[in-house]
Amino acid sequence: MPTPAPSELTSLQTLFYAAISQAADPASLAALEPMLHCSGSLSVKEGFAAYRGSVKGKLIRCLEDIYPVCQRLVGDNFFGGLTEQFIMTYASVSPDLGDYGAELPAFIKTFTPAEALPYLADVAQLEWHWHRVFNAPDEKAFDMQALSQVAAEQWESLVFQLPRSSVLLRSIYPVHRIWEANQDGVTDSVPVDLDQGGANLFIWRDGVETRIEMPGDGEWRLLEGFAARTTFGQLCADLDQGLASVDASVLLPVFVKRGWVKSFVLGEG
Amino acid sequence: MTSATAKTAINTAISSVLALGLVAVTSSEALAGKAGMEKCAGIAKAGLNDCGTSKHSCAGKATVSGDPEEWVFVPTGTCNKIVGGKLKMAN
Repeated sequence: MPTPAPSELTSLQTLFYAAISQAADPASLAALEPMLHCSGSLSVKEGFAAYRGSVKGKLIRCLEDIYPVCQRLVGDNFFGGLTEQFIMTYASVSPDLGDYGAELPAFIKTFTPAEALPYLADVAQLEWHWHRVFNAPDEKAFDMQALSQVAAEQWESLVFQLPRSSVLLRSIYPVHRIWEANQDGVTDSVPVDLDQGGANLFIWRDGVETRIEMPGDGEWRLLEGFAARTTFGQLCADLDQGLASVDASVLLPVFVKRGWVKSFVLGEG
Repeated sequence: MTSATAKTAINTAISSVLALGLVAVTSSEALAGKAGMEKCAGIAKAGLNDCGTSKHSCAGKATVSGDPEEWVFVPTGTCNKIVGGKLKMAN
């Protein structure tokens, strides 16, 4: 078969994609059939069915890798059914399989059989964030030298930045407990009480270690301020007027030391 | 308008961070060494882009298509260990 022209290649790829997608478009398959060589032992249709099964198997395995706690919570059958429905709705559109599955938490919220498990979507959200933080590029340490060059009059215009891959996650359910009790090798058989209260979680990576932190109220307010890119002057003024006593002058050096604050820019004064 | 208290907080905060810098310079090498050691220990998760053919064949492990049966959607995992009023309300 001669090499197709670029425009033909695009239409060929579009046909091929439609034929291997989970919907298995019969018209695309029929259009492709005359252009394909059979191996002899399998017909074109059988070959495509194997291909389609392989794509589906890989996408399901990818979701199992990213969402192991959800799988454990609902069992293999339920998770298999859930992911099958998800794959029918969402195609993989990135060359990196690690990008696939971001919509699963939102999908779970609309998935009727999961209605009785109201915390499942939040657990999935935690797992997705964990996956993204785990695979995020490394970041440089806080640049003390650069900070020392900022004039004191400009200090209030500083905007401190959390690690780029870090996430603040709020849930009305104790998702961190559910996550923890369902890790590999954990023999924790204590039931998780949904009434124990929600969780404010900060997910970030300390070097090569991905961590889920439970910041205190003061720490949380400061983290939220940094995430919202509020200038440090504005933040201190807001905290000064607030009812809760949050001492940014104590917390900021602690954050820098822990690696919760990675960089800064100068915002509007 | 920044209040006097807020101004003091800003000054104390940034001065404390800068003071931290002096300590960090002396210990940065040790920290870098530790991180490298951790990397050698291999905490990395397996890549998602490998073909994974050692785990399942080209035909895939999910070749059976069609709508899953009703019974598939009954949770059988560890969610029975999760108790509480909110769950009852949702039911």
